[in-house]
Amino acid sequence: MNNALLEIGTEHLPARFIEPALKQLAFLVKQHLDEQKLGYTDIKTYGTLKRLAVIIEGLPEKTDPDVEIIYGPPVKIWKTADGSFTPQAEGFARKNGTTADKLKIMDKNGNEHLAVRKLIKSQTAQNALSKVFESAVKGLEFPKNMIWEDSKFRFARPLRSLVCLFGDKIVKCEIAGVKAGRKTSPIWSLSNAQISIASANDYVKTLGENKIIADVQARKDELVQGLNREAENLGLKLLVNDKLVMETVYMTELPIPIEGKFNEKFLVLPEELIKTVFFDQLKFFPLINDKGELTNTFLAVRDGRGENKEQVAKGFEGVVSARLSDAVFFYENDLKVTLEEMKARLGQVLFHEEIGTMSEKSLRVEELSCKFCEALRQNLELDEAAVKKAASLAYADLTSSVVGEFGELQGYMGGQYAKHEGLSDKTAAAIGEFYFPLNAKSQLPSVTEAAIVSAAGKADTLASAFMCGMIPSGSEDPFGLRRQAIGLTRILLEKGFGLSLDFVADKAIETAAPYYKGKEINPKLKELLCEFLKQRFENMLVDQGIKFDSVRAVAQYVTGEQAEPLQVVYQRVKALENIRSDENFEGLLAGFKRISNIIKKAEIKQGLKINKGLFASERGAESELYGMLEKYKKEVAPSLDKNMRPSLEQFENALKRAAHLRPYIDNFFDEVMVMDKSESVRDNRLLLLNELYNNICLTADLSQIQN
Amino acid sequence: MISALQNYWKKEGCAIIEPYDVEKGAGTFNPETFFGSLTQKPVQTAYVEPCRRPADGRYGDNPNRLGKYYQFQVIIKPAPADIQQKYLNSLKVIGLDHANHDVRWVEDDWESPTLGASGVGWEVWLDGMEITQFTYFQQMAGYPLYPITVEITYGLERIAMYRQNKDNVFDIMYSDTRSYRDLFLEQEKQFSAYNFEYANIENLRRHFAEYEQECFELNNKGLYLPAYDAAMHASHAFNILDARRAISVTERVGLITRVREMAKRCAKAYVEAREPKEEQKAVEQ
Repeated sequence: MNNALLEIGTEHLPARFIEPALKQLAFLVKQHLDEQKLGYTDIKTYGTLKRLAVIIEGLPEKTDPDVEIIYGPPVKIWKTADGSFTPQAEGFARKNGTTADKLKIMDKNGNEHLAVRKLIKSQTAQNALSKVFESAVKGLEFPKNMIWEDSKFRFARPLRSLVCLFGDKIVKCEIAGVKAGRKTSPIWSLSNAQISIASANDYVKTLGENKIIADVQARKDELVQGLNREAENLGLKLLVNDKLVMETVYMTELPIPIEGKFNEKFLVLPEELIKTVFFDQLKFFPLINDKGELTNTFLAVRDGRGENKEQVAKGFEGVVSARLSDAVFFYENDLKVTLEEMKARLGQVLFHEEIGTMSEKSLRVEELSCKFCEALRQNLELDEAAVKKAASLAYADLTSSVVGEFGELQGYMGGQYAKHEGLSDKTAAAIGEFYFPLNAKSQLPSVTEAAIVSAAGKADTLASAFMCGMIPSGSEDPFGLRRQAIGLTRILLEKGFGLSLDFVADKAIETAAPYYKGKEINPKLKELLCEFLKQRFENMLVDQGIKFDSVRAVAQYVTGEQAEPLQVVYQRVKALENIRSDENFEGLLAGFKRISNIIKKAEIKQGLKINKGLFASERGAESELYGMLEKYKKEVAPSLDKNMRPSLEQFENALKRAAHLRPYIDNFFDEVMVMDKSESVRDNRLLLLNELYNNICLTADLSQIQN
Repeated sequence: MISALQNYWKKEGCAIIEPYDVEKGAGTFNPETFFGSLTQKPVQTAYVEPCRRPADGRYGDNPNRLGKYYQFQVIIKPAPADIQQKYLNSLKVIGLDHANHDVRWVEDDWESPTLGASGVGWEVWLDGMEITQFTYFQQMAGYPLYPITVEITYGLERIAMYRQNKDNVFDIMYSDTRSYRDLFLEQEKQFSAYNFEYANIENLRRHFAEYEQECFELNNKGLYLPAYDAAMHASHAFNILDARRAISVTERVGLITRVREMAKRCAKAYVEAREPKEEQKAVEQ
């Protein structure tokens, strides 16, 4: 048994390309090994920014010989009536290197077909690997590719070396003008000499001897341990940032933390601003004390070489100082100006040509926020002045210097400036949290006022963008509308605002319409918008593990004529999820399906009422079912009226009570023939079933439930 | 420092030429680079290039920002296989041995909407500070390129600040006796005032339109070099108008498109003149 190695040596790969590429590489190698009939025991990947490698373990010396059967046309197309071969048979034979008279007849899926038996000879592992390696490298896909040499081979960055080994032998392979060998590039700051890999088994060890940690997890451990150790030595802690850790893992081959300091005066800057400068611009790690406060000490990570630390640290410190100075320059500029003054500049920032500037958007968000307040004030304690003020200033920070430089700090900086100006806590919170939630899983705006303004902002963005025809398609969503919609639905649901999607869409479209500069507003706009929001809501439910058919069962309440506030819909679907696994309920479903089938095919006459006098008998199944139905209507149905504000308990109770009807329904079908000869009896029975159906479905449309 | 770089690249086979005397925002605009990257003709040049970026001016108040600064450009086509190593060796001749510093290659795919150009490459960071843009051009003026040109752009002031241990660009000693401040502070002050406050907007708009027209006419006559000069003038006029905040958001896209169109026509005229039989198809931007 032998191991094989494929290492693709490149110029520095973008950090974010590496992990997906290694996954692809493993997959492709496996796929092609299977194709070549080469058995193996394990596949492991290793990668740095300069090398993507895969080691295959447990390979035999040769591939297994194999027989491949290629099926052709059905046997009846072999010969014509006069006994000669058909053109199809001859074509098939020719294509597979034989003649029509030598074709075999083999069974496939119970039918007989013409077939060719191909003997696949055993080949050496080396030969097979040659093909595997070439196919794997050529099969890699990257978000962005380039060409750099004559063959115009497309890859993420120029390919400069290929190490292809089977045991200690070189496997033949040539890609983009590079021939496979056993030499690979060292860490340049340590050496100029190529590293020679003696055999596949030695790969990781040999690189390690040259200070390269090829294994991703091992390199991550080295980095994290190193960072924590340095921080501890300084009596401080590392500010956790997994994204930067992984980025650093993929930007180094031997990560070495280096400590540096900056002038304490910079700590006057808002915390998130400092973090943004460190994590996004500098790619360094700031350190915190045990109170969790930022200190003026940081750790930067160097690749490969620990010598000459002081000079390098000094360089790092210079850059940190320059970047923080810039940040201070911007921040102090901004502090000289009020949010109102910043807001006045919004006239120069365009949202979309067909609906105008951010200044106009500001006005819309303010108006829409007030409309939401009007609808909510009966049921919630609201500081409406704070809502109005925050809404009017929500976009102001977009023209600030800091946000101009660090776009991702929008909202946060507005909140900081609001506090600085002495605006109320609620106003500052609403401005600061305007863009929350920042992603599908992160926190919502904290206070109600903030949630209202945030919802208004998102609703307006959606309505305005949709109005201008910017409706997201499969792969394009330049305005990030999906994220806006997710945020909006989460706020409506989790903050318990008693507003339906239709209400929100209506108000948003109504507010945006006067600003539209295009020719005609799409008459289907509200539908499109509501459908879009509905899909996000339904995805949320499914993500939570709610069954898809339960989601469909409450779809009619999400938008449309029966639209309800999302948290009511949520209670419905949760009730359904909770009760549907009850034994009785499953039994109910069976009976319900029968009712459903009958009603859907029959014609229910309008304007008729159930006539007890038409029942077969006073004690029979029909009467009993009718009695239970009346009981249900009296005792259960009223609690589901929306003015009663039904909650989870009421919905669950309704479903449980519906389940109690099961034996009565079963009896009904055992004893009664719905399609009676008498038209009036038949109509009466259909009416009964129809009313039963409607009442059972007061919680959810059970016809959507599949077993 | 400049002569050390020039000597190094001269030894590597580059012709050391002087900067092109028309105002531009980046060394890439130099006709040697713009036209040089097109067609199959090999190129090997290096030059200092002053770059004017009106919107970046800070009246000489900011220690890190300049409205005009100097790049050192190296253009080689076809790109040699060991060009990264050559670059690192070039740093050694200006006293920056990568063994003693942290050199990082940070993904940065450069794009110039005005030139209809894009490339794949890196910012090279030295001890955390960006000192070079290293790019393999893939497209210029809408034309997919082959062979590939590599462009190495050194930020001279940045590097000088680092080497001389200065945290203010104006403190750099340009020579033994003259500082950057002596030589260029007044320029920064006056041109910032001009670009942000006093440039005549109507004139600039008119200049833009006039250069645009001339560019088209000259290209039709096959005079792509003077046409390209006109394009550069128009592009710079745009940059000043931008610094003057005279361009509305809706207008901006339109103007950029017009500059790109000028660049495309120059490129087309050039390609047709040099390789009339090769039909190079321009990619729609």
